Amino acid sequence: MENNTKIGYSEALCVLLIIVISHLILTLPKIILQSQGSSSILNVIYITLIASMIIFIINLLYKNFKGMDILDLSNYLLGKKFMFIIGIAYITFFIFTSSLLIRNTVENLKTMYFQSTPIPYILFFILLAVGFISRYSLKSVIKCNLIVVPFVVVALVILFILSFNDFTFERIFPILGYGPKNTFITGIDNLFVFGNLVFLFLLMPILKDYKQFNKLSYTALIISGLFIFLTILALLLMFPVDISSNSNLPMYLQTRKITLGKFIQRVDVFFVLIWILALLSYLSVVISFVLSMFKKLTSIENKSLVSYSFIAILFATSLLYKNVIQIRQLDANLYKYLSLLFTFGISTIILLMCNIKHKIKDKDKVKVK
Amino acid sequence: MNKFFSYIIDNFRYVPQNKYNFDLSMNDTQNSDNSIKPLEDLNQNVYTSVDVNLEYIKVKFNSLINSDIKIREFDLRARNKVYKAFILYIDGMSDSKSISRFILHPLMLKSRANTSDSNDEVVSSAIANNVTVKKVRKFNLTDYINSCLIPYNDVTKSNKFDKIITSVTMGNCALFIDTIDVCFICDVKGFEKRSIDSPKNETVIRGSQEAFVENLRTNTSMLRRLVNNENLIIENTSVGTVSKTNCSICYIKNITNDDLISEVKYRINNLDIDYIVSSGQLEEFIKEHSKNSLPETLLTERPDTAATALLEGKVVIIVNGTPMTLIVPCSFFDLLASPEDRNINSSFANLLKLVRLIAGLISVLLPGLYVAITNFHEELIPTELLFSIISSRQAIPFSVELEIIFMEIAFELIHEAGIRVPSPIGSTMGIVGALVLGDAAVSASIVSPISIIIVAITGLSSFAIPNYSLEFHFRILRFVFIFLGTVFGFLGIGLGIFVYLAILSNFSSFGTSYLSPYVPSYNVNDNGYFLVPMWHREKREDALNTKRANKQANYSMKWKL
Repeated sequence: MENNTKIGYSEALCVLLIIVISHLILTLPKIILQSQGSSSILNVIYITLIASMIIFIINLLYKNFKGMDILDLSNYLLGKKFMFIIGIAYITFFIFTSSLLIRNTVENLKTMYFQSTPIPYILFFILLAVGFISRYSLKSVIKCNLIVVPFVVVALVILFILSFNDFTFERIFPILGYGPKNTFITGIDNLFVFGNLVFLFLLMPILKDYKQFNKLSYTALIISGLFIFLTILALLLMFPVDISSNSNLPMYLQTRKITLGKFIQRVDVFFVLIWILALLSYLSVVISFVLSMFKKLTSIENKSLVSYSFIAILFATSLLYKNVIQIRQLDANLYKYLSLLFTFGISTIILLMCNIKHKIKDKDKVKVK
Repeated sequence: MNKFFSYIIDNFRYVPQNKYNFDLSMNDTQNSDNSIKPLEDLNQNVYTSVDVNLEYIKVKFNSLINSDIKIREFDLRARNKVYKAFILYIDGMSDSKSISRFILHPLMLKSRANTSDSNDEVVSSAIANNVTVKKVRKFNLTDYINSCLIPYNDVTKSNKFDKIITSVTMGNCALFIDTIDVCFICDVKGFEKRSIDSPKNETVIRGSQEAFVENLRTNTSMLRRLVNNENLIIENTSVGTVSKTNCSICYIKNITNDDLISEVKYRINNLDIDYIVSSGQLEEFIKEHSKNSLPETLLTERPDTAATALLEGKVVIIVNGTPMTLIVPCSFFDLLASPEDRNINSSFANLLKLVRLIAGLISVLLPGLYVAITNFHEELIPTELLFSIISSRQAIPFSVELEIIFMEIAFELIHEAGIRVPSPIGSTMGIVGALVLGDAAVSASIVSPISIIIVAITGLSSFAIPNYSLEFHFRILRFVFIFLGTVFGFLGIGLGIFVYLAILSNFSSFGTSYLSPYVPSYNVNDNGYFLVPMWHREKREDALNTKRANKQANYSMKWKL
């Protein structure tokens, strides 16, 4: 990416965390609870183990390609045209997921606080802020994210602690939910919750120390898994599965139940404030990565000029969805599988192919010698 | 009818303007060239003829109309020869007694030194075969005057008029002598200056009670006294082609990063301006993000704060004529630190720092949050409190946001008026403004009591911010958050906070991150916002990249071992 943009370990970790937390606040728990019921916790542990194995493989495959992102890898594999195709595919995927996320948030905000405000106004206001920030360098956006993530993490932990009084531990049963097949075989598609790991393939060139890549990937996986586990556990123990899986924003339901003594009866708005920060941070990070990828693909001098174009595309895409039902369907079907495809499919296959090419080249070199 | 017409004619007829209407901007012939150039070419060497020099000086200093320019012509006697000479100084800037005693007296009065008639100085002599052989050094008038006739400690020679004129305007005395093309500059500054006083804005209980003054040399001497190390470098430079204001760039040679020193010098030495008269003006000129109201330098009037900054590896800039020095680089958290923090136990300091942090947040966010909560998120307010707010606002004709904006403007008015009026009336003004007007406004149902409480708490909090520039910045930001809270409630506040964080993340002060040591992920090295105990502050700030990373040993209290 940009030559002057090198980030440290904690900054990279925060990038990976904000992606998972933003999805966690909105859609992830609902999709898992819907498909797994009371076995959601087992399923989360199971998919975390599977993801750690995939990460192990990715780390192994990445050994020969330190400092290369997915675009460099595709360039190495099949040249510039392929790199361009992969780049555009990834950019489209990021724009799609961001548009789903922002539209979902705006729909929820409208229901909660702005009943009479049209959706385009709220969208425009949010994207204006994101557009303003996207003019800054990727490093500045990541630095900003580094400030936001600790607050979001602390808010999640506080939410879990404050919900403790409302836990009904019997709700965990039946522990295998809809059956072992559903939990361990069909439930494997819930690996999509680790969609944040796709950014591992973009962070590599901007890491200050490539040696920390392994540590970064495992830590991100473990912390993400832990947050998903805690959130699912809290929702499962607080509400019957039918309620939490059908609610549009299950974590908001969780905050509504919290009271602090007689004086503070509603704290949900403070959590919403933190979540807005998380969403903005997510959008800024994603748009900055999209811009950096676009810059690499097209070699444009000044990325800030195209930043507003991408914001406009995001705005238009977000307005394409007709209603909340459509967003829910897209989340549960399209986003889930696209996330799997891009995170563990395309990226891993490209990496694998690059390794094969590398080995063939090595053999050729030996033969020449 | 006639009356009507005469009224119309009187009021609408053409009346030639006879007002005095002088406007410099209208005179475009003088401003055709926008570039800043030196007013005159002073790169002229001193002439050997004293009369020519005298004429030159008289013209340059406009001595016929300048009442304080003093030129004293006299005959100088050296080795029994008489030379025409004159001294030049500015009345009120130089010490007349020193001029009389140490310059005029030895030069004009007869003594052994100036009446001896041997022209050549005998270095050594020897007698061989009854013949005395003397080794002599050729007589040099310049050296002779410098070494024998001016018994003064600080004398420099110069043959350039620009240097001489600058020295004289700074309070020195110039001596011109016939037949030599060199001028002697004696440092006889003797202008009236304020004595060292206690700090007015940065008061502390346990620390030093000295503050910087307007005089540059007094300020540098205070720094020297506190740092007490030969590696303290105080480099002088002048800023402004007209004012040639003296500035000192101070740093400790073996601690401060060389790149930082070079950057500071580069910025100061590359200012194409006519004048500066204060450190505030210089601060604006050396700012990287000039459109942003965030301060990039830390202003202090305390020598101990400046000395600590130097010892930490920062650069201090002193501007002649201002008692406020600039410390660069500075971070956002430096602006929330008080000089008292260093002098007290870390737990006391941390409590105060926490209070200041909360004060900062209240100062920026409270009015905006109040507007957001009352307009969009009433459910957050406990029922009893909500009822009391609603009942107190029933008779108020304005909306909450207008009420808060009016109150904030009124508060700013009281604040500004309190500063402008003479100090004995200032406090009265505040009391009258806040108590009487506030009470009257509530009684007249113009504002609600809760709004007064909100604005008063906000105002109090803003006064708890130790840095004046940051306080101002927060005052502006407060209005932005009121607007955001009015438009989109907590969403607006959230957007505002995020954009502000992004701006802070993108901001830097002389090459260091504005949010250091927290962002980017530098090692905090016990230099975070909250202080660790004194014995634990082992390292200097990582962001400063100093030549000496440690400032104390791992086990500083060796007496405990």
